[in-house]
Amino acid sequence: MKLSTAAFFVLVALAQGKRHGYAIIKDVEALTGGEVVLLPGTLYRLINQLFVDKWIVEVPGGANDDPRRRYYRLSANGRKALSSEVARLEDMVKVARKGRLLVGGA
Amino acid sequence: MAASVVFYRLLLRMCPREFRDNYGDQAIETFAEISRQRADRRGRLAAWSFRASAYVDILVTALREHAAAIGSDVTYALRLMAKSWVSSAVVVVTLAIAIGVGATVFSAIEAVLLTPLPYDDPAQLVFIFDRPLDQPAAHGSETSLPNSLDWPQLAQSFSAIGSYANWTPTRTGAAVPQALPGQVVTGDFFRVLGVRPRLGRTLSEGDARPGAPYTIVISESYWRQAFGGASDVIGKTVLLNDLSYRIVGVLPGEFVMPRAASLNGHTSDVYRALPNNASERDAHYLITIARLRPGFSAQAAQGDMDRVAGLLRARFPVANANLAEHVVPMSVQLFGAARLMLSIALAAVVGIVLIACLNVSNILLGRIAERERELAVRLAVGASRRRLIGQLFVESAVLAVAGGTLGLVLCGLLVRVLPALRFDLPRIELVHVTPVVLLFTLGLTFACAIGIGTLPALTLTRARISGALDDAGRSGSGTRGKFTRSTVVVLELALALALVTGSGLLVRSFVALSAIDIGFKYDGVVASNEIMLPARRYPTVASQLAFAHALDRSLAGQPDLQSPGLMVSTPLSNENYNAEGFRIQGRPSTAGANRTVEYNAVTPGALQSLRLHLLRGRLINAGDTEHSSPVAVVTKAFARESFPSGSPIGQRIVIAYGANPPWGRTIVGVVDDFKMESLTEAPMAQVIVPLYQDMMPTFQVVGRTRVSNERLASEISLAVRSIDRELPARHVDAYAAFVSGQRSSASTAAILLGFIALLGLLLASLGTYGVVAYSVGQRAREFGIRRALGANAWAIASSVLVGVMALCGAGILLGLALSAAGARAISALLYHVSPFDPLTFFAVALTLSATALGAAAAPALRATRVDPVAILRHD
Repeated sequence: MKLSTAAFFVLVALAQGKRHGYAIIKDVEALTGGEVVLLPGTLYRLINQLFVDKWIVEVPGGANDDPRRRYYRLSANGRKALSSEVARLEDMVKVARKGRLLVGGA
Repeated sequence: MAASVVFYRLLLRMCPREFRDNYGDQAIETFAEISRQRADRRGRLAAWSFRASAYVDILVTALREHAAAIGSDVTYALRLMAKSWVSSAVVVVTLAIAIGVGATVFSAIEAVLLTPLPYDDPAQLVFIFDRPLDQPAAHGSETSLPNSLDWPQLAQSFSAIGSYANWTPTRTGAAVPQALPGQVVTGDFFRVLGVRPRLGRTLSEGDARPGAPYTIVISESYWRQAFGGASDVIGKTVLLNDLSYRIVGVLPGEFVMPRAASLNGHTSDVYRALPNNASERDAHYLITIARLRPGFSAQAAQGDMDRVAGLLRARFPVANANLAEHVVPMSVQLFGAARLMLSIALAAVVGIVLIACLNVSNILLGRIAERERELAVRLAVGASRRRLIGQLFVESAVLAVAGGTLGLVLCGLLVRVLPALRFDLPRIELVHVTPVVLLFTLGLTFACAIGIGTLPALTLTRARISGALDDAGRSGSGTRGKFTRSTVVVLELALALALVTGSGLLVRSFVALSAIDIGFKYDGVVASNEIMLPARRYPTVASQLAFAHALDRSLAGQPDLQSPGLMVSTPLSNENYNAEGFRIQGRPSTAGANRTVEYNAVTPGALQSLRLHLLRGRLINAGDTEHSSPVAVVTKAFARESFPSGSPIGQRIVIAYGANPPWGRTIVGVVDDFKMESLTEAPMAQVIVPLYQDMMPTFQVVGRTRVSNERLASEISLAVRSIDRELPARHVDAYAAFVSGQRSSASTAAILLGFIALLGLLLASLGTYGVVAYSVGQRAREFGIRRALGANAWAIASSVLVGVMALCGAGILLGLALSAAGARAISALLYHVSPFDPLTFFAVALTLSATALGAAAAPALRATRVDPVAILRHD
């Protein structure tokens, strides 16, 4: 199953550990050098979808965490989905490189 | 809290409740935090640009969440449909029938009533008819030329008044003379309708001036047929009735004469102007139309014409005695009857749609009862009631859309069949599925979705659903659910009864109309169209007599015609002649004044072929010629009116028509009444004289035959043209077809409503079956125990049937009340049947009971076959 760009980055952000919503936004922004800025509506819609699909789970916050916030992390399913997506993207890049070399060499 | 956050919270309310409950607070928090951070680090502009995009984002999110919820509901509904596919199929077919029939009736309404007349600003067009002053309710009749030419000067409500009459000239000069359908029209006729010519010009005042050159305009179809559509046709001349007419214009292809039946595409080929100096004030033969001035209503025009008619009565006390005028909007005159019929059909369709919705509601209620546990569980785990109700409506909508789609297919088929059914509806051949029909179908589908979803949704709002968890679910729907379902069946039966009553009354009316004795034996009788002897070549009575004798002799030699004869005015032909100067010899001349007496002239064969029932004396026979003493045969109505006591045989009357001076005649026979104008007319006083004793230049051939109309037409044409090669070919019409045509309006109403009522009865019996079958299923345990305790099969079955009879009784009572209210509406379509005809009501109640019992028979039988052992073991 192909992931949307936004969902992909949310999964990448959560791959680093448990995060709350605002932290995900900040992470994605940092990871993409400010290219992808998630807005709150889109973010929570994605979180809801990923939650329903059981790719992420909600976890309780630690002692140092803000008690008003809700925290999420990747599930085993989510991790699997993310790695297969990364593999798919790598394959695509490989194909593209090969193609360009052939075109360039002609 | 900052205003920007408050606004965000407000927008968040657009999201579905579930989403808000789960993520609302976090989204607001995140929004506020980013907002603050942007403002601190990048300035107010950056903060506002973030806020603006976040606002749009939350709205888009709301839309997508809603769409996703509906999408999953639709998927769920489709899954449910597939699971219980039998009941789903019943639901979809039921709705398809209701929606399909509804859309078809609507498309007929659109074609017949909503399509504007093909004239400029048709709402301003009216007919003006003559009527007797002392009979306000009488049907309008033709007007006279001098009167209609006076009206524009005297009346204020009209911008133009025009008149027309049939004209069937013979085109001569070509190889074979040809009779052309045509019209004579007054100078303003085309101006009233606002006709713009295809080529050249239309006719106007100048063409109607006495002594003006002979001019005609021709129809587009005749232009193509006779002139190959040549553009230089203007200025060419044609010979009509031996006179040379110059073609001045070609009418547009879509032009039709304003005449109810003719709007179905019959056109006239040639139009000439009626000289405006013509004829007597008491010669009534024109149909008059007028255009209302802007701002004038038909009622205002009626008031105006009442005044004008009064002026003319005072000015012409003899010719206009007892003459009043009647103004009728053109659409009412042309489509009034169709409007009534289609309104009734529409009402019937509303009944069908209601029955269908009630039916489907009941099926859905049954399904909900089966799902009570599932729904209760979902409520228990936190699904909101609103969410479940929304889901139920999505289910209804899915079913309705499936039904609507299938209904549209059905409508597409019916619309194709409709024109072929020869319903007596003008413009019915225009019917097809238009965008407006699609829109109507969409609306009807939507209404059905609401209609079938409401009852199930109402049951969900009741608290008892949450109680279903405690229960094993077996007694599931309590007495309340049963009551709801029974009420629904009663309503269905009542609606069906009303529909069947309506159609029953119409059928009875049709039977009464079919049973009318029209006074002559029309099977096998044919009549030709009119033979007109042109005045130029037949100027004298003697020359006309010579032709008539020759034709009568020639026809008598035709082997395919039995007892042929000539007749001036044939029955049911709409061409009748009022006698003039009628009086009875030996009585004061005023005694016969103000009496309408129909006048007719025949050769002997005509009366024989009609097989009129001779009551006294003799018919007209071969001995009654121009050389014998003048005689007349009268009808029973004439005898009753003129000679209430004593026999009319041997009495003398003075009577004449047209140019001939009144002659004294001896009455030699009395025949039974026969219909001259319409099947439903009251018996008319008629005087029939020998044609040879009052020769007229216009008559028809009447006879009996067993051969086809075409063959006979060519034989008659041959006979006519063997005497005068310049006369055109004839065609003939069979009376049987004509009479059934006269009855077609009654049969149309009966068939239309009968068909819809039959569907209603079918749906109601389906509904009854469903409810009884369901309740038998629910009571299986009870029946099993009763069987185990020794109850016999009959006791079980009768306990089911008694319940059905109770439902039926309630349905009949309610339905009778409904019928009584509805019967008034169709009373205008009834002939010789009271709208409260007890026989019809009784028969319909009986039919409904039989139908309900029939529907209950199978479930009742099943109830007797419940296996007590299996039931008790299940416990």
